[in-house]
Amino acid sequence: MSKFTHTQKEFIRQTLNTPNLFDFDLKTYVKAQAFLGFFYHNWFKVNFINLDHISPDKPCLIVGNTSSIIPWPALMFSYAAMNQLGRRVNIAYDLDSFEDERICTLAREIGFVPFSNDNLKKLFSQNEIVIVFPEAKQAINKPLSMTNRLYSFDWTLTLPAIEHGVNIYPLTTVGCDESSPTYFNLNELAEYLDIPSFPITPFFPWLPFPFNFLALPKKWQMKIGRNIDYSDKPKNDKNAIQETAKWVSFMLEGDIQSEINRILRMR
Amino acid sequence: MANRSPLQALSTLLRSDPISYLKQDRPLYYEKYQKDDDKYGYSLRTLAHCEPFFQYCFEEYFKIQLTGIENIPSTGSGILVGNHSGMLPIDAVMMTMAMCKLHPSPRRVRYLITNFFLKVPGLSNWMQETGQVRATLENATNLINEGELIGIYPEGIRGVSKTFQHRYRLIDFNPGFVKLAITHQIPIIPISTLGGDEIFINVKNLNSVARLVKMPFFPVTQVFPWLPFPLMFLPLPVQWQIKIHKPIHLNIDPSQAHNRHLILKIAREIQYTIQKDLNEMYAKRKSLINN
Repeated sequence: MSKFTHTQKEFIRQTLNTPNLFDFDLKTYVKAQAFLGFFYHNWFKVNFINLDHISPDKPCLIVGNTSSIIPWPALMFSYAAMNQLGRRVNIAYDLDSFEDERICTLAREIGFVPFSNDNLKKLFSQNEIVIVFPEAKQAINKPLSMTNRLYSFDWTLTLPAIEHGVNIYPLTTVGCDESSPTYFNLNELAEYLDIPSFPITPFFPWLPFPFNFLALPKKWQMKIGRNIDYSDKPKNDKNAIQETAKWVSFMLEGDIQSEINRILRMR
Repeated sequence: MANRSPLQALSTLLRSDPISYLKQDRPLYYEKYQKDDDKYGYSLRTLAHCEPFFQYCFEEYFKIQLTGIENIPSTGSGILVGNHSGMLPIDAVMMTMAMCKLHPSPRRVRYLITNFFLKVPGLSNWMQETGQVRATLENATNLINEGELIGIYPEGIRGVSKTFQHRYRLIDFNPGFVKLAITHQIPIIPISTLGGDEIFINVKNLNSVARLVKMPFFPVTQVFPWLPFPLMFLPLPVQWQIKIHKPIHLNIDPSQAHNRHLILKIAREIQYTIQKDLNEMYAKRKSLINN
């Protein structure tokens, strides 16, 4: 803790100065960030590019791609933003899917926020960073053939940001799909056990509890893309905003996919 | 015509009077292009020669599922823009066949091709006689003024040389086609083709060999350098899916044609549309051979 207070003064000052609406707990976060740091530096060896595109004091929405049950890209981005920008990241997530109360509390304490229009607007008015994953639940168990290929984005997730007029950045993650591969999905068993899906991965049903959610140690590359400029799009009525949201989410999806393609070709 | 054997299809290449067959099978197409006075070397006879064989490929070999052929305008110029796939530009041939057979008023498509094809001895004449044109701005402008449908693959030669693990991942589009569309006020028609990238399994591109033999790229596929001549171009019988979008009328003032920022943005939007389509079709596809 003392080392943390020494090195992350900016982060602590920002956290303490902003009102805490969603049960963010600094003590739990400090404990968690030691784990996250291990994953960031030693396990995934994340190479983060263009993090300085994000301005240090403006609200913004980050839109990313994911493919694992535990939202690793969000946690890694949260760690990087804490470490390099000194800013707190709110991970907008469908928290109803966590049935266990303890996991839900832990998630809220390290920065998860239940997704809703109002919550996001509140956060934007407090100059916070919010990250969303608009591929929704279907991305959680991507089959092997769909690795590094996006499912279509849910455009409604960008609505609050457009209504509020904040900057929107695409976040490309390459490596996440390979580090948590799903060989196949046992749908019958999942129905029988009443869980959303039952994937077979290198770890999942085999290892004892906390380890079966682990990801393979694969080198990651994360990149913040260029801000999506929607200032010239109409925003006067509800329909116009929806059209703009559809366009923005289409552009985000294309940007992320083309960035993935580019990184894969270079690798 | 259905259920022809490959041998029957090959035997159609040896017909001595192909035009009479074309007149019988595709009367509308024949009426339109019988005059045979094209300055780029289009010849109805050559097309009639190979048309039945490629129709066999279209129907029986690749079993193409095509949607949205009615979106291609019957009159006036337009630009077909697609993702390039397949080592040999088979996707272009297949679009020509679709336009010849399935369209309510059949038209030819003038594809703009790179210089390389015009340097290969046997191929260059054949390419020009079936309607392809060397890709220059002058040719494109002339064709558009004549009201022809032109086809462009903005990925260029890099698109066909993709290795198997990069299949259906688009390379950034060259925005030249948007400039053409804006200056001449003609619609752009995006086409997404699924299946073309799997007919040849490109393991590796040997760049040094390519430089040596002066080819744009030298792939190593399941057949390419190994088998004797005609067999080395034998593709796998993967089922194709082609989706043709509604024409995009840009409605932008021609004075904006040099606005590089705008042009890039539109090219990117069209690229993203095609990529999105490919991703969706790829995720939905259940089988490679029979859907």
